[in-house]
Formats: sequence, structure tokens, C-alpha cells
Amino acid sequence: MSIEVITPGLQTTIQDGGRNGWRHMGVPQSGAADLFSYKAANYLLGKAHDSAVIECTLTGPRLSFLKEMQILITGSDMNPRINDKQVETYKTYSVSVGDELVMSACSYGCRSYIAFSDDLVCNPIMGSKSTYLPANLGGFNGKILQKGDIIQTRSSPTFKNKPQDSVEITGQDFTNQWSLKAIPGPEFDFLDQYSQTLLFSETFKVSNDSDRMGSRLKGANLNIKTTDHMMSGPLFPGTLQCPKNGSPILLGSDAQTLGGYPRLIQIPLFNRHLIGQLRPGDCIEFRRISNEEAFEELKQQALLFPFIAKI
Amino acid sequence: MKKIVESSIIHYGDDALLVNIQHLVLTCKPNEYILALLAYLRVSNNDWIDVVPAEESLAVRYNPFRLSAKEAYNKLEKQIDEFDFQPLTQNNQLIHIPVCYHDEFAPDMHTVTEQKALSREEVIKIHSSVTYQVTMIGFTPGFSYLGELPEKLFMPRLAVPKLHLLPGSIGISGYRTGIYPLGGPGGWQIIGCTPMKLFDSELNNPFKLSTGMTIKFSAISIEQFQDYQNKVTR
Repeated sequence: MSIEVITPGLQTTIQDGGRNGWRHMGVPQSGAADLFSYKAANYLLGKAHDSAVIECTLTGPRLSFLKEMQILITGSDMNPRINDKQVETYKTYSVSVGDELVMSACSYGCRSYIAFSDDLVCNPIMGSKSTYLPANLGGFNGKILQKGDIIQTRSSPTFKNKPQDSVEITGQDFTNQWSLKAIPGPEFDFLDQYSQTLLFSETFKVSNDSDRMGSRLKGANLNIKTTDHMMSGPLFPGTLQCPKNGSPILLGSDAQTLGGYPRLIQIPLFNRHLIGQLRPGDCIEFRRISNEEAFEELKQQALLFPFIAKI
Repeated sequence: MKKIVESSIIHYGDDALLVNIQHLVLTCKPNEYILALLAYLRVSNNDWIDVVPAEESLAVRYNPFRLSAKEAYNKLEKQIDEFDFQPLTQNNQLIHIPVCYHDEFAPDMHTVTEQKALSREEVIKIHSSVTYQVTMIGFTPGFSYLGELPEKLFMPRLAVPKLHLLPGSIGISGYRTGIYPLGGPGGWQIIGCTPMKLFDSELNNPFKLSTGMTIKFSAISIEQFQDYQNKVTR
């Protein structure tokens, strides 16, 4: 009744929709770094919207199934193969006892999601099964999956054994050059006029020093004009904060809850999931958008993909 | 009613609002107003997915599929208008926390003794001589800001934050000392560690510390630290 990890991949963890309602205790949201791909996986497979999945990073795992079930993979394309036969992403496949799923490296995007018709057995902590690695919270003993780990599964009472084909998703257009829409943040004015222009015109590069907490960006040096001491303020995933050295950090799903650097821009919800697909070396540009425009975009996205509205 | 704070609400992206709070009259400690507002917003409305308090501000996150930005703004504005501030009757229970200041748990002790020209014993004595209050919780899971640290121990943050601290690590920064119940990343100078279990995932509220509590540290040896851990796990 389980799945065995034959090789773990680079950073493979159990994730779900995240831990809500605990930020006042310093608990990050965590959950899938790309919530769109996560929700798509559960939706297309016919699972409850908050089911736990396996998140793969850059290079995926090799898994052996000790029970028959159905699986579906979304997000970046890590050339998944079942028993050496190439399979497609965004499509349901049945696996039998002894079958092996082998994921390799992706060229575009960063994270891939494997959803299972069975439920992954792990204790929810503060309402979520997602793994928060810095404090070893949730998921599989709070850790990345290791060779030899056995993930217990059990039949899911909510699994609807019929593919959801009312929504056509054939994978998103992942790239190495991203254009993210951005709303000016609480301390956008801390930038001098020139840096404000730079922020919305320059290309930034994702550095190697990037993880689920945040992606450090290299590029134009932004000049924070105020030297005032800033008190620590609330932070959320999707915030671009900028320390005094001028190199901004784009916060991801494991973002800390408080921070003392200027919050320059916020990536709106309809684009925020793409932060989870940024890989070291990728280029990003930020394009300014108003709150109202972002809301319109979100509504349009929800018309095409109603499953995103479940938060 | 006399106005004690001036607050302004701004949009923080398309699913959060930020309230900046300025005290007009200091009738209470600055954080008391925000903590009372936090408690009020958390119970009075289920539209807020998260309410995040900070020292001079507070943020709420909402679901834009349920509430438009305008509706969220109006709701929060009305709630803050109607909020009748009373200092919370906080759980000011005194908690004695054993701390081992041994090198093994205090990677930054030598920096502190060097920069402050104090002996290790003096640092320990100063740090454990006063009682602290938990003024705020946040940053990483359960991280507790304690005030106020005696001035003799004021230290800057680390230039390069550490990525993985031991659960129970005790750090200092400026006029604060702090506890990392779950470990995780941290930028404060670490001078000790407590074996006391401050997080229990089995409980409804897994965190033992909450704002308002009074904390007193007492120094223990590394043997006592191990004894304490053995007793807890047995």
C-alpha cells in the first residue's frame, strides 16, 4: 500500500495548498511553490482540491509503485517515463504493482507535481501536510524524500474515478525568459525615480542562491533613497523585497512572515505561481500593472480554470 | 472616545491589506494595541485567511475570489473604526526556561565576548539576570521576540544569516533576545539553546509561548541539557 523512493531527485517533497491561518505565529504558508500546477494536477486527476502531491525540483525522482493507482503529472516537463515508456504531462495514467515512474531533468521551469489517486499518508500539522524544510515541519518527517523512503498511501474517499476533461490544459508555456506582472508594493516610493524606472524596464537574472523561501535576483542595482530605519513589517509570498545592497529577493511560498527590507512590488495572484517555476539562470522582467487590472486578469484566469479559485 | 492611534490602510498586492499604525498617545506599550487588534480581527471575521502583526503595522490576507479589493478595504476600515481598544488580559505566566550556553550551542558567543569585552560568565549572568516579556511572535515558526535585553549585550545582526539553527536556539539582536522553538534560518547572534520543548504538533496550539508571557532564563550545564532531553524523550 505504498510508493517506494528508488532515487529521490534533487529536492523532492510532499506539498499541498499550504498552511493558512498561522502567519501570526510566524508559520509560513509553504505548500506547492507553483499553486496553479498543483491545483491543476488534483483537478485533472479528480482528487479533492487540497490533496497532498509530490513536488519535484529541477530533477525528479524515480518511484516504484507497490500498489496500483492512477497518477497525473503537471508543471515543468521532466520527461516522465513509466517502465521506460514516455508519458505525457497533464494526462492520467494507471500504474500497477512493480511499475516504475522515472522523472529526469527539465529544461524549462523548475517544478513538477505528481498527483496520485490514493491519498499520501502523513499527519497534517497545523492543517497542512506540506513540508517546510527549514524547520523540518510537515510532509515526510519534515524532510526531502530520500532513497529507500516508503510513502504509505490509502484509497482516497474523495477520489472521483473519472478524468476531469471539461478544462483543456496541455501544459503551460514555460520559458527561460519570464515577464511577470507586478503591483507597486508598500515601500515602492523608497526607490529613487531612476530605480523605479529600472525596476520596470531592466532584466533580472535568478541567481543560484534561490530556494522555496526566495529567489535572489541579479541585475540593475536598485537605489533605496531613504536611510530611515525601517521597522519589521508583514511579508507574503510574491513580494520583491530589497536589502540595502540593492539586490532584490523575490519571496516564494516559504517566505518568512516578517521582514525589515522595503517591499518594492507584489506579484499578483494570477502570476504568482510562476515564481515556483523560476530556475537559476532564468531572466525576469517586471511589468507594472494596477490592482484593478490584476483583478480583471485573475477573473479571466478563473473563467478558463475554475479550479484556481479554491484557496 | 479619545483617539489613541492613527491608522492608514493600503493595498498590499491583490490579496492583502496593510495597516500602518502610529501611536498618538502612548497609553500602553506600542505592541499592546496591535496585539489586541490582532485578537479582535482573528475572532470577528472569517474573511481574513491570515492576520499578521508587526511592531507598527498589521496585515490581513483575503481571498479575492470571495471579496473584491474594495470590499476587503471597506470591511477592514469599518472593523478598525469599531474596534474598542482594551489592553488584552494576556497570559503573563512566568516561565522558567533552562538555557545551555555551552560552546556547542552558542556559535556566536565568542563574537559577543570579544566585541563587548565581557567574559562568558558575565554574558550568561547578564542575559539570565532579568525577566523578559514576549512582545511579538513571527518571522519563522514560533520565533519569539523578547524584551528588553540589558544594553550591555546589544549586538548587531549577523552579516550572513545562518540557514539551519537548532530548535530551541537563543539569539540576541539590538534590544531584543529571541527564541527559535523550531530552528530554521536566523540572523541573530546565537548564544545558547534550551532543551525545553516549546513546540508540540499534537496540541491544538502547538506553540508553548505566546505574547505577554514573562520569561526568565536559567543557565544549565551541557550534562543538564542532555539529562533534560533524555527525561523528555523517555
